[in-house]
Amino acid sequence: MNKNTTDTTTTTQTEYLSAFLDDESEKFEQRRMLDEVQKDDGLQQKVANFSLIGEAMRNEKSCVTVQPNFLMGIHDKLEAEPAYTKVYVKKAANQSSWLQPVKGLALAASLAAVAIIAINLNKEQVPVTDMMVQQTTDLTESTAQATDLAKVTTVDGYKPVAADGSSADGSNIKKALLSANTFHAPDTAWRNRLKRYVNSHTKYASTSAIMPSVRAVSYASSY
Amino acid sequence: MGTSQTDMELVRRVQAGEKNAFDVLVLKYQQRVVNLVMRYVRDQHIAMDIAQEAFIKAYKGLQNFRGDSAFYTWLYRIAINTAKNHLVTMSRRLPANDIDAQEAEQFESADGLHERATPESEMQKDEVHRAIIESIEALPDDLRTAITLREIEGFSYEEISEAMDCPIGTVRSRIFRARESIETKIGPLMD
Repeated sequence: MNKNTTDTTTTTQTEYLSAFLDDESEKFEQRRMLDEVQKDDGLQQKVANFSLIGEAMRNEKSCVTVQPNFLMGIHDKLEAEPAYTKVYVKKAANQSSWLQPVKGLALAASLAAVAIIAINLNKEQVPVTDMMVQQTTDLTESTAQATDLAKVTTVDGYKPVAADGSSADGSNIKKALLSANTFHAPDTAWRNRLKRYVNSHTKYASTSAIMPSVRAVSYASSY
Repeated sequence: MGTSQTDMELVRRVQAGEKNAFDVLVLKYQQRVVNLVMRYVRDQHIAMDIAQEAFIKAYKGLQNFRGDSAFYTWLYRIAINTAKNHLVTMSRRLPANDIDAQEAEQFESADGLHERATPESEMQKDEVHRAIIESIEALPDDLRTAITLREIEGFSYEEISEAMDCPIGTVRSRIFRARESIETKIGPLMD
């Protein structure tokens, strides 16, 4: 029973091969047959024998029968040629089937390494980020306080005074720091002192140096 | 012959690096190439060497083959040139005119090109050849007609089905059965 099934399968396969050699098979069948023939020595022998039959029929007077080692001879001669070997090795290096998974693995490993490094970097950056969040929070608070301080109407020296009249020094360091960075218009005494400095500077400054003079004039004219 | 599709697929595979696809091309055409070369050199062993050299040249040049002509036409041209080069090397007298692949296949009386055959090689080739011819003569009419129309006349399956007034599937089956029957007879001689 099994033998019959095998025989039928072989017959069908050989019949396909016969049609394949005559270029009378469908595309799909052709590709399948090519795959089979390339790996099956028995089918390859059939190809040789069927070709011999056709050749003998076409050359009724005489027909040389090719030796079975004909193909091996070609292989041997090709292998013996250094140029061929070089090309073959190059091809193998480019297209060998085992190299493809290795390439895939290398790519996957690289991606994994990058991912791990990125995670580690993120971990290291967490405190910094926390600090930055804290700073951002502080800055938000400071901004709110600065808005309050912007309501300052009079400035006693550099001591900021809140609009509600409470003193900014001592208890609230943040407020003091913020006020140091906040622009306040100088009082009259300071303005007079700055004017005197600018005038002296202009008087004794070298006439060949343009920039200090420009700066001094510019500063003075602002007020 | 109409074998270009299969051959082109094989060529594409070889060009893609499937070395054993070339083996199929060799097995398919080795007989024809050797018989073609035998029109130039009578010695069977020399003919085999030249045919092998032609296949090697074809393999090396296959990357540049673009399919402008059929593969076998290209291959036969290589084989003829290789045979001629051999004759030049051996200081043999070349034919005055070039012979292209198809002409060479049709060329029946090329005795002037031949080296002398040895009785041994004549006997070797005749044995299988005779067995094949006898097997064909012994085939039932429908099988013999089908395979003759295919191999000698070069008809397609469709043309054979019209000539024999039967479905294409039947033609396919008849040609296959004819080949199988002949192969069974020559099998012992091939071992």
